[in-house]
Amino acid sequence: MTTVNAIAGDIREGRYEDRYRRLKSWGFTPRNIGMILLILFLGFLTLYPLAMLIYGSLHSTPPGMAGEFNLNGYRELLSTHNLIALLNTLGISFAKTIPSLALAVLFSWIIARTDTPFRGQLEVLITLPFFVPSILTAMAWGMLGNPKVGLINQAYMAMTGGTEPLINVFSYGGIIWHLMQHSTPFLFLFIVDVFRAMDPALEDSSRMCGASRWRTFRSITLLLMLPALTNAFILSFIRGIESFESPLFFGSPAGITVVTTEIFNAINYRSGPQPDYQYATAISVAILVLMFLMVLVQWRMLRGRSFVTVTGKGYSPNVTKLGPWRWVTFGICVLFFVVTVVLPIGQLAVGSFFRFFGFYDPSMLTLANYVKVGTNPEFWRGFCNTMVLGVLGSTVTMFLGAIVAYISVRTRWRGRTLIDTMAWLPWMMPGMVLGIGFLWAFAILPKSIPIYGTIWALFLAYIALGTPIAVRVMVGSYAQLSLDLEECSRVHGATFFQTLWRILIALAWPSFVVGWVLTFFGILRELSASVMLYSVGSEVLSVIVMKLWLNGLAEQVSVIALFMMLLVIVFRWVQLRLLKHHITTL
Amino acid sequence: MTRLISFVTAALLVAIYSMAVSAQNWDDIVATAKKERELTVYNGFGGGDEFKEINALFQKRYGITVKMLEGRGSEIAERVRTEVATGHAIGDVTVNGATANTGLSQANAFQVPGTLPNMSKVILEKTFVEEVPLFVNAYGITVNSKLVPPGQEPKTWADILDPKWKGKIISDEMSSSGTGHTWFSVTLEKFGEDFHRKLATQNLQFSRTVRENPRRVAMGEFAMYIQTAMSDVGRLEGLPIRGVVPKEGLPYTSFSGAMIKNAPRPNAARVYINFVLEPEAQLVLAKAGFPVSTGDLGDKVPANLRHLVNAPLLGRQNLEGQAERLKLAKEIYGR
Repeated sequence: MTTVNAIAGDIREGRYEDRYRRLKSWGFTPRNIGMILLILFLGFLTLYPLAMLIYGSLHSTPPGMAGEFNLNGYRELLSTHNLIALLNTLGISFAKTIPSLALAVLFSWIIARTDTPFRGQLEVLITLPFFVPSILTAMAWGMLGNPKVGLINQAYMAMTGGTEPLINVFSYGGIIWHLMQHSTPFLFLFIVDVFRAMDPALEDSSRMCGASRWRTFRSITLLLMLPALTNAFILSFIRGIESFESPLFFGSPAGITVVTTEIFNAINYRSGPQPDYQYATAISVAILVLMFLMVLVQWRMLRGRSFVTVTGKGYSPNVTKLGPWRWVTFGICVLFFVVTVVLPIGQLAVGSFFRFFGFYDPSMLTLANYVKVGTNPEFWRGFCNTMVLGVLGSTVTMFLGAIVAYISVRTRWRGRTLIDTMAWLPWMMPGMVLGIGFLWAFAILPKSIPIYGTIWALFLAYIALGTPIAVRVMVGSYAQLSLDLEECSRVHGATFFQTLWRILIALAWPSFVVGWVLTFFGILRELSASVMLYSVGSEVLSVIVMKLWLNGLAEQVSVIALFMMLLVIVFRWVQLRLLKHHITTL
Repeated sequence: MTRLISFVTAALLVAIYSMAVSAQNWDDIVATAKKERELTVYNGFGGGDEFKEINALFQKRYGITVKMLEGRGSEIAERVRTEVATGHAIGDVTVNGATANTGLSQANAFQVPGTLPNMSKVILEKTFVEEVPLFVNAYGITVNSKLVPPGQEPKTWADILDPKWKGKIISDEMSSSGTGHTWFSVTLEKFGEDFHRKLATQNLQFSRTVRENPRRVAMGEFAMYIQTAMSDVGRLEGLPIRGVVPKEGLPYTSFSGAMIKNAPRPNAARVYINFVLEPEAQLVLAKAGFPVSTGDLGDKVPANLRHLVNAPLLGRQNLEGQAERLKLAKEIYGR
């Protein structure tokens, strides 16, 4: 009671106001304190593991071992072999990102802005390849496009009587094709809602001024989508550089080396019984610098330009009537679905019912793979852990991403560039090495901060890994919203939080949901950090899949892949229902 | 004479006493292990469910719960090293390949498990002092049964140089570490550089997806795969492939158990490593097609696997000079 009275006395005498004023004069405002906390949290998630990796690249031994600081890791980078690997990596990633982006824009336009039939269903179907683990589609394409025994080539040779195969997946083309199947739906997910959120009045004005449909698309639609497109391009390009399964599966037989296979070799004892982490981390840091320069170019490109399309003026989504051409666009979507989903997933589905994947002898038909997966307690434990980590992780990540994006795009606060940069970092490091960075970072913490060996290690790593996507999705969304909307709300007497809830969140909600789905499935697929950080009892689905794969149980892996596909369909259905409901409410 | 008898009697008494003390000590270790109640095993061996089965048998015998964490060899090794270096030891025992475990031994991440009763049964050579060899993964040939009729398969390693196999052989990558390089190192040592220079003219198809390769042979894409883990032959029974053991023997990688330094449950760790050398645990490994470290298990091993499990072993990779051998493999095979 005495304390309460004392505080009341302080307030009466205005002591708190004095203190507050003094603190404010020193810069301790709630906003600044919030920014400092945000910087510290992001720093712990991104800079701290990165610092461990930079240490690794400059020290002859990994943390905790006696050694010396030197530049040997970087010196080793300067070789013709590495230059070829780097050029291969950049070339492959560029060659897969450009057509993927073109296809994604085409599909986004078809789904969001045309009267193509069954758009709702097509939207779900087009995105399916994104959610299937790459190793599985690689396995399926290894059988479909094998030059000697591949089904496609056998069918082609039987039909034409030729002896030369039509396709060979063990080539540059094979790597690019396999990567495209993943990046096209990824890019599509990223940009389809940007198409939806665009005010068609701008395009209508262009058309009324005499511009052709193509010119309008090129000069108005595409230009307004520049932030979302460049964000998506960079994310996908970087992911292409970091891809491992496709080059390993399709590149190694053809002698194609890329940066990630170099890192894999370095970690896996290329020079004796000690893994060469110094070289592996030096490659990764070099890649990070390269990627960072690319992001800087993007920032320079977009600086000072406005991409606002959603203003206070009402609009209704404009749908282009395609007439009979709508069946052509429908056909294009179906063709993509057939080639990228039906063919490989069909292989997985069929394979899951046979004793050996790829050997379709009726005497080997079995349900044993389903029984084994269904009765595997480890699988169910992994599933439950993944769901909990996925739902909580992606929700926290999206809120974090929304805050970072808001500060970065819609404020002039000091430190906004720093948090935006920090949020990018995890995306720029190859996952294989980043997992080790997290392991070193968490294990080196004092025992009084019990993160290593607990489920918290996975949770924090997932937030760090998901933040780049969350921020990019929300940046793209906020960049389209006019500031007038917020100002108008405030002028009409709404509080900051009312404005946030009724204007910003309400309008950015569809992007938030897309980001949530991308992050959720990112967590579902994440392996590099999971395998270094999971502990007994906190196994996740990707680790279970990896263990089965290492044990040569491709058939059971196929069952899990189909199960994941089912999950995707359910989640996407719920997402689209929510979106539809939201748009109706608006 | 009396002196001699007295000396022999005294020596015998000392031997019996030390055996009794040792047994007494081991009983104490087992009793303490049971009080530790559980154990964490870090397993970097990507085999099948063999260790799950062994863990269940161990749990049944001693009532000690085994928690097993599995991953790729290099990832498991880095976990062990980091835990030891940062004083965050969670794991008690690690099971891993020779390369990973030798590296950990050099990084001072292990401790000697002390005298284990079953250690005397081990016939495999040790690479480092803390090692307990458990079994080996041996690499032979698989041939497609339809493309290579019985009697036509290679009988010796030199037979794969026959021009009739040109373009029909799939091989694991030899110029990066792994199964292919282990095979390269052993055959280089035994048959010389000339063997590889001739093999390079056979237009080998290289692949790094080791698990996929026997299936590609079974599909008829290639006539043979020259580094098949013999344990895969049993697993793929039903497919049109046959395991072939050339008469010189098989290159191999040994898998060993080691006790992690500052293991939180040291006694359970000792009892576990000793248990993997028990006949019932070794039989689980042999039934999966792995030559085991305690030697021939006789007719307990299924007849179809006996010739693979008891195949002569050609040798294992010497880890010294690996960097030079990798360079040589790159040069010979143009990779």
